[in-house]
Amino acid sequence: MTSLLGTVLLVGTLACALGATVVAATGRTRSALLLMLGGMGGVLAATLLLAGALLAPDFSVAHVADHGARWLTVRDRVTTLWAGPDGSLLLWVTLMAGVTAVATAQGLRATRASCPHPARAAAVLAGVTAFFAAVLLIVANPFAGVSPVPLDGPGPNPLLQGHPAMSLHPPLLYLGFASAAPPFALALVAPGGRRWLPQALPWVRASCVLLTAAIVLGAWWSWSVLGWGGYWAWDPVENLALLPWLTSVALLHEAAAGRRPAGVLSSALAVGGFILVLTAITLTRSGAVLSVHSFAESPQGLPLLALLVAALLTAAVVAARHRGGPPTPAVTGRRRALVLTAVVLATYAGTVLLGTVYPLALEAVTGHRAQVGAPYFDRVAVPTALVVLALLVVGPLLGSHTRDGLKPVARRVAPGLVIASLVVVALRVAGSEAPVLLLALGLVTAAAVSTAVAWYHSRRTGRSAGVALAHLGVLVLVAGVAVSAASSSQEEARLVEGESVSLSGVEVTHDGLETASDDATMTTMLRLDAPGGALQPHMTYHRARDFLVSEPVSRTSWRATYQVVLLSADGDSGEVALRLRRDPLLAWVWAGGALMTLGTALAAASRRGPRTPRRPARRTDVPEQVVA
Amino acid sequence: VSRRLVLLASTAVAAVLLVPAFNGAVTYYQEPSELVAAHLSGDQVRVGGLVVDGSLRRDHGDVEFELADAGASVRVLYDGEPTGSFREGQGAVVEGRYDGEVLVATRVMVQHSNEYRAPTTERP
Repeated sequence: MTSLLGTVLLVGTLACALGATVVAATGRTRSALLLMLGGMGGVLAATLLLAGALLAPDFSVAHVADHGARWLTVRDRVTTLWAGPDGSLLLWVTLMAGVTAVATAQGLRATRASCPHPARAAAVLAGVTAFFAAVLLIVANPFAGVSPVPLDGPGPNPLLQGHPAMSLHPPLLYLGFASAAPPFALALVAPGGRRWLPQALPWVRASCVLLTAAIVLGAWWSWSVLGWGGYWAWDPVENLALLPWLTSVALLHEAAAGRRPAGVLSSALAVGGFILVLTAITLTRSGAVLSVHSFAESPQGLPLLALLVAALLTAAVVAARHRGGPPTPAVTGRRRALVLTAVVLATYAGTVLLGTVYPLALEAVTGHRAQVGAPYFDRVAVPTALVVLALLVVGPLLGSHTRDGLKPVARRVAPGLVIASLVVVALRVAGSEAPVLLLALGLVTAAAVSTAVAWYHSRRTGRSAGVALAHLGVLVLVAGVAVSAASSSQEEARLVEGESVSLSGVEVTHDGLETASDDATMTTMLRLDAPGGALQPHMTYHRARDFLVSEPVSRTSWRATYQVVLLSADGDSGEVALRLRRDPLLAWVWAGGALMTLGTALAAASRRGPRTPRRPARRTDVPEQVVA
Repeated sequence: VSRRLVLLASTAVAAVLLVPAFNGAVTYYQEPSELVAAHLSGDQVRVGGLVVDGSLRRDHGDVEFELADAGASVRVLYDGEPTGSFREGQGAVVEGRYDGEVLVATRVMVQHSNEYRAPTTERP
C-alpha cells in the first residue's frame, strides 16, 4: 500500500515537473509555478511517507527493507531516509523541487531589468528537477515493493548511525547544492551583459552558508567517527563538495567588487558552480570514484552522466553564441583585490577538479585505476592559502575607488605586519621552526589585524560584521589546519590491565575491559584512565551487517585535542592495542568553521546597510557602494 | 579575441606548471596478481585482496601477512597495528610501495568480505 502510494506520488511529481517545464518554456511562468508547487507537494508527501515507513518500520518498501531496522533509535530511523542512494535521491528531488518553486516565484516578482527571462529560467530549473524525478522513479524508486516482506532490516551502514552530524550534513549539503541551481539558470538564459546577478545573489549566499556548514560538519564526522586521525583526506567525494563551495565564494567576491554589468567571470562561476554540483552527484552516485562513500554506487550513473553532458554542452553553446555584451568595467583598489580573490579561488577550484578527475582520464587512456592523493592537493593548497592570506592582509585596507599610491597602503598595512613579525619572532623563540608554518601564522596575524581595522572603519552594518566574522573564521581555521598538520603526533601501544603508558605525551592507564551485548550489537569497551578523567574507547560489532566499528573517543581543549582509538581487544587476556593521536589547535578548525558559517549567514541575512542618498541615474551605471 | 587567447595561454601555462605537483601523489589500484605481473615497482599502490589464512605474524609491533587474490599473493609488511576487524581470511586494502618482493604498507584498511569487491571490478 505504502509502496503503491509512494510510487503514485512520484509519478505525480514527475508529471508536474514535466508539465512545468513545457509550460514555462512557452512563457507562462505563473502556470509553471502552480504546477511546480504541485510537484513540490507531491515529492514532499513522498518524503514524509518514506519517513513514516522508516519510523513504523514498514519493510514492504524497498528502502526500508534495505536500510531500515526495528532496533534503530528514532533519530537514526529518520536519518536513514538519506543513508542509501535511493532515499538520498528522493531528498535531492524534494529540495530541487522546493528551490525551483521558490526561484520561479521570485522570477515572477522580479523586474524586467533584473530578470528579463523568468519563464526560461523557470523552464531550465523545472527541466532539471523533472530529470532527477524521472531517474528517481525509473531506476531508483525507494518505494519499490518487496516480496516476501522481511521481518527486520539490516539498518544503515553502521558508520552512518548514531552521529549527530549525519542528521545535518546530508540535508545541508544537498540544499547548498540545490541553491546553486537558480544562479546557473539565470546566468544561462541571460549571459553576459544582462543584470541577472542581483537576482542570483541571495541563492549564492545561501549556497555558501549551507555548504560551509555542511563541509565542516562532514569533516567533523570523518574525524570523530572514522578514527583515522584526520578530518580531510582529499577523498574525491570531499573534493567534489568543496568545488561548488569554492565557486560560490569566488562569485560572492566577484559580486562584491560591484562590476556592472556582470562580466564573463560571474557567468562562468554561476554556470560552472552548478555543473560542478552535477559532476559531484554523477561521480559519487555512479561509483566512479572509489572512496568511503561507496554506498553511493548505483545504476543512476549513466542517466546522470547524460544530464551532466547535456548541461556542459548547453553551457558551451551559450558561451559560443554569446557575442560579448558591454565590456565589464575595470576596477581599482579594494574592488580589484576582490576580483583577484575570485580569480584565485576559481583557479584553485580548477586544480582541485584536475586532481579529482585525473584518475578517470588516466583509466580511460591507460586502463590503470588510480587515485591522486594528499601530496598533490597539499602542494597546490599551501601556496594558494598563502596568496589568499596575503589578499586578506592587503585587500580590506585598500580604498574602494581611487587608485591608491603604494605609500598610503603601506602605512595602513604596517601595524599589522609589525604585530605579525612580533608573533613570528615569539613563535620562533618558542621553538617553532618550519618556515612555511611561520609565514602562514604571520600572515594570519596580519590579516586578523587588517580584518579588525577594516571592520572598525566600515559602516559597521550587519553585513560588514558578517564579512569580518567570516574572514576571522577563515583565519582561525587556517591557523588550526596549519598547526595541527605541522605538529600532530600519534603513537600505538599494547597494554594489559593495570599497565600505564605515555603516548604522544599523554599518560593513559588500562583500567579494565568490559563487554556488553544486545540484539543488534556486541560492544567491547576499554576503561582508560587519562588526564581529566576516564575515557571509554570501544568497538561495536553490528550483527546485522557483520561489521565491526571502532568508535574513537577524544578530549579537546583550545590548545590541543587527543583522540584514542581501540585497535584490537582480546577478551580473554584483557590485552588491548590502542592508538593515540594528539593534534594541537584542532579545536580551532571547528571553531573557524563555525565562525565562517555564522559570519556568512549574518552577512547574507543583513540588508545592505544605510543607502547612499539617491542621485540622478547616470549612463555609466557604476554603484557607489562597495559591499565588502 | 586576444583576451580569450591570453586566457587560453595562461590556462595552458598553469596546467604545465601543475604537472610536477602530481609527482608521487598518484596511487595505483592493483590486485595482487596485477602487482606481481606489472612493472609498478616503486610507485605508490593500493592493493585489495584477502589476508591469507595462517600467514599473519606479529613481531615487535610490526605485522606481516600475505595478501592474495585468485592469481597470486604478495607479502605485506606494516609497522603498526591494523584497525578493527583485521583478520585472516578477510578482505583488506593496503596502501604502500612495492619493491618487487615486499609491499611495505603505509596504511592497512579493513574491508569486510561481504562488502569487499576488488577495485578493478567497480567500473560502472
